[in-house]
Amino acid sequence: MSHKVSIRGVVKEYGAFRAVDDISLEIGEGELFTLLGPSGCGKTTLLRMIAGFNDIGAGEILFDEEVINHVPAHKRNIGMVFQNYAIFPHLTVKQNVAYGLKARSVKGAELEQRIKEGLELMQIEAYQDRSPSQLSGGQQQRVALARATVIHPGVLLMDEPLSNLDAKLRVQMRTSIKKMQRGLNITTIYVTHDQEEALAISDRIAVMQNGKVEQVGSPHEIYKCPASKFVASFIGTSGFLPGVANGDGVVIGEKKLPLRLRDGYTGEVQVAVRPEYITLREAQAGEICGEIAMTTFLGDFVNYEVQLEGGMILEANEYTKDTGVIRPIGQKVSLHLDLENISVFDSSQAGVLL
Amino acid sequence: MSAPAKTGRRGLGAKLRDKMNFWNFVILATLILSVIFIVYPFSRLLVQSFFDRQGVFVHIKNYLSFFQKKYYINTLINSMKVCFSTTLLTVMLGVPVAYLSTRFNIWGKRLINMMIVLSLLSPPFIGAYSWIMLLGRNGVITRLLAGIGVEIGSIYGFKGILLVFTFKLFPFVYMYVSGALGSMDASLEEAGENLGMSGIRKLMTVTFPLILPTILSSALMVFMTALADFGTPMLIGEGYKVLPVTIYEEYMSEVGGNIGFASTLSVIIVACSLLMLWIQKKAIDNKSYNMSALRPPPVKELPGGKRILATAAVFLVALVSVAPQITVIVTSFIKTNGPLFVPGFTLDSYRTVMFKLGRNIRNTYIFSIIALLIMILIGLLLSYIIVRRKSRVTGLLDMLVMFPYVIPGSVLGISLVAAFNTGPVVLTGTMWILIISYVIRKTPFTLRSSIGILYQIDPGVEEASISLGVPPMRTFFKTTAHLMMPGLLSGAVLSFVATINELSSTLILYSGRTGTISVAIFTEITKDGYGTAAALATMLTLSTIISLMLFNKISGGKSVV
Repeated sequence: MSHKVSIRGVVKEYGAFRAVDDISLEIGEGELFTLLGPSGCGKTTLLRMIAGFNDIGAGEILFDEEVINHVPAHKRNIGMVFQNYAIFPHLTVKQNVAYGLKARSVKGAELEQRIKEGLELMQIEAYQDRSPSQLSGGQQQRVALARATVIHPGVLLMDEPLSNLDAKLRVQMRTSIKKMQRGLNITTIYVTHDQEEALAISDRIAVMQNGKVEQVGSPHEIYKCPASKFVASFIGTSGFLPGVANGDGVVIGEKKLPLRLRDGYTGEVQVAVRPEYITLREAQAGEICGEIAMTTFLGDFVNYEVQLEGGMILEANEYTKDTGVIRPIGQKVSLHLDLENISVFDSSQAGVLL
Repeated sequence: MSAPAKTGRRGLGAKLRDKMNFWNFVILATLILSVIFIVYPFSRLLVQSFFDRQGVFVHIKNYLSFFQKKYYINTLINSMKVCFSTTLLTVMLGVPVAYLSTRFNIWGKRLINMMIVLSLLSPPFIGAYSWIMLLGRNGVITRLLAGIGVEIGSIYGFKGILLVFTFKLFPFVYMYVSGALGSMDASLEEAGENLGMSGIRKLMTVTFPLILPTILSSALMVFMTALADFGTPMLIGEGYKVLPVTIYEEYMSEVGGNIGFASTLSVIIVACSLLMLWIQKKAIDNKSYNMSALRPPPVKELPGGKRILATAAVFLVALVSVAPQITVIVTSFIKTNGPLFVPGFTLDSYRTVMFKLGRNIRNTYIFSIIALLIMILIGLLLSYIIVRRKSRVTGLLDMLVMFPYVIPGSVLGISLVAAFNTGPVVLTGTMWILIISYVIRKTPFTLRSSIGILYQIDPGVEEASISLGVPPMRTFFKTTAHLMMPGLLSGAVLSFVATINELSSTLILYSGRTGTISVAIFTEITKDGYGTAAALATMLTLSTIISLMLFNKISGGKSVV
């Protein structure tokens, strides 16, 4: 019942600006697929092309095997959840949920039954006769979800659905969205700029920048093996160390990392490392050295900003359960990278060489 | 953009169907209609201004004689004197009254608002007529004061025009400025205070600069209305001639109107309006602040004595501004003997009116309701394309439709005559030409109000509806149109009120069978039928009050602007 979605060479131009630049993606049936990227990367434009609110400049979009480029928005059988919910303010909660069903001429007992299912699924039966203005943001969000899913859409589109909620509610809602999506097994395309949310909710993620897809993969893959410097910095936190590849390793200052690079690459490189893969030890000659510039205690771990000898700042974490102490500002330390968990990018900041 | 082969394969028909959706059709239709009813008549007017009374092309001779003859140039100077003085006085009166009534706990604010709005929306010439009855040569107050030996000077001429205009038009300033004062976030003034400004200095450094663009906008409204008004200077100006009066006289002259020269005068007055509009736009360019109060400014509690004083001051102004309406209502019940009022009360004036002028009364309401329905439809569709289908074409449409707003009614009337007196479609003498002129001139109220509310409606609501399977057209009527109703209808009420009270274009366009109440009042006054005029004016005033109450109900008591 749910569609698989194929996006093939899709382009959207506004004048000379390419908002969506030749994107191709295959989204499987029942998959929760996220378009992740900073604002202006083209993710919402792409989503609205799938919805039918932006026309498709070039390329094609298919639901299963059918090209839908010229199917008008109202005939695409799509459920859409908007950033600001777009609840009909002149209708009650129940009427909002019923709206799409009535457009499909669902009548009588079936109508009542499906409205009830929708209200129950999102746990909003208690508010069904209220007007939307009497609901909190979270409740409005649930109405929007119920309204979009009750029509049994072929594809569910969600445009930054959690961005207007407060932090705690956001975490709660993303869990209920995930559960609901699994339960209904609807192909879902989810747009967000929040990488943590994307990691938490998605089956697969497409990381986008400047209208292009930088990497597609499971949350674990893109976190572990970022395909570009942009992905490494956008997903989670990464520090970057400049170094030189000389054929049998990468040299950073006085430290030589025994790394094998793809195709025996030589030249300038950037080594990306996440704070949790740096171990801090006493300062030692021949290692990467620096001094603690800033200490932030966050409960389960301590985040340090270490100023390297060249002046660069690198973040490192130490877990409270592993160490008992908090290092004082000014302490000299050496930094040891976990070579299993670093990435190396060439001077074009793109190719992964490891 | 180069379309790929696959989309290129779709037929021309399909592409045309894509283009020719409902909204593009609306855009095309309004464009055609505004060319026929706005662009064409004003072009005809412009062309006509180069012809003499025999229809001979005389280049710029009409313009030359305007600027060479002292008589004509003086009317322009008079108009400017009246407009600038009125604008200055209304600002001086409107701003303090607005400040007092929004920022202090005076009594009866709703009543005061109602009175002030009423005085603005009543027919323009009723003010002049009532003030003549109160302070004129034979006025009630004049005689009263003469009885105790006090002589007030003549209120005819410049002074009278100024008196009537000031009290009739200061509500523009009052309403705009009240709105701005109420939507200024309290924290702005608090920040000023926090940084060491207090009292009058805070007022001058924070409050006043923030509402200055609003004051300028309202001043422009006052200026335009004063420039366009014909009834007031006609009745109370006597020898003091201003442009609209001269236009009317040239056009209607008993020795054979000079349409060419009337057109020339019309073009000159339109040029003045546009010049003012341009100056005002330059003056507030980039200076209008988008203010929406998260926390409206607090209403300051005044102690007893000061509170009474402030209330009295505001009430006095409001009372003077509705004095004409009260006068008219009272007068309508006074017994008359020919042109003279005699002691005692009666309904005779109403009987006469019903018997003699029933057709005018019917006409007013029939024409206004037809115009109202058209304006609602135009307001609904046009505001949507202006806001949601922004393009150069819709921007141009917006300007075109707003243009008649700054055009004096008599000028519009003359242009419509110029356009539809001959040729393929002759409309002069029919009720349709009146309805067209009402729609052209009064739609801006509905349109602005609809545009205002449309900006507050989330476009996502429509997309939500479409994604749920409702086609775009039906979506519009089920969602946006529905949500627009309060703004649309409250604007429409204002359009309606302005329509029933319209005089200046009606006077040019009416024929024997299509006279309206306002025309009847005007002719009754000139025939000294004061009692019947008062009865007719009372009907208009009552209709206006009922409409305003309706407006308050629809708009939830929000202010007019």
